[in-house]
Amino acid sequence: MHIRRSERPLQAVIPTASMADIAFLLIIFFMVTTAYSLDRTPMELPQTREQQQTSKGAAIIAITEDGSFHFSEGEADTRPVNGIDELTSVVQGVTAANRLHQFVIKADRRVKYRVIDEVLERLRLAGAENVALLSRGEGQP
Amino acid sequence: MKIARRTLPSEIPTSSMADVAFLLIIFFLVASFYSVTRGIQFSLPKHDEAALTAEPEAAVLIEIDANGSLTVDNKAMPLGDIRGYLAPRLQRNPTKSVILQTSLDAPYQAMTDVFDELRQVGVQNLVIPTSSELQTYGLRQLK
Repeated sequence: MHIRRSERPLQAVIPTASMADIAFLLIIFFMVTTAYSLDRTPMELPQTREQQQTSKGAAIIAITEDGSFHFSEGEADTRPVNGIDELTSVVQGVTAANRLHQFVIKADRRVKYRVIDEVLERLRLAGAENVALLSRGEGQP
Repeated sequence: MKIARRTLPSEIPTSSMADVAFLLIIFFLVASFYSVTRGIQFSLPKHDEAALTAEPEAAVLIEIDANGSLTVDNKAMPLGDIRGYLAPRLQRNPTKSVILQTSLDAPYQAMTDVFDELRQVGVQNLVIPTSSELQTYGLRQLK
């Protein structure tokens, strides 16, 4: 039997209309899950196997190898801080508003423990309770 | 004369939309890899409560000296042996306190190495006294 071919030519179009919808959904997903690093001071973080996610919006204390400090309340980028006493006053500003606000210590692995000890002491006196030490996991860049 | 009207295609060109969207996806993917937001967490003692509530005899005391070598309960011990030393003690008493004292001249990495190991073993009660706390409580301070 001879089958009559349809006179209408088949449309050679790939339907791409929903592609953008899917792509935008993925964008929104990645936007929400991406936590920007507020501190971009280059340093070598200590390496640990144990790793927990720090909370979003935590205050950051960055300590470089030469012992200078950078601080951020967790909203804006970090700014340089002059010495331990100014750091103490900004830390107190944060703990006065919320004692449970998390502090993230981002310190270079070569820094002397003397500096960390001083910072921990000031944090304790300011009433901070929740502290995290930022580290690099195994096999991470 | 009659001018033939061209029929305009009634379509919004959306083909490049997906391209733009995928570029943005790649941006956010890459950005999420480069942010460092992970680390080890601990709680500082509350200001009004005694930091060293556990009697020192009942707690395991780990000291790190200036060149990073360890002394556990007054015995020198390599980092790898801490697990074997602590595991049976933690099995008997899961809330056993461990006091971690670091020499002020030790590098930060030496302290995080031990901290990491203690977390791996499963120490729940980890005390990290600061030097002025040690002075207050009259404990020995490492040089």
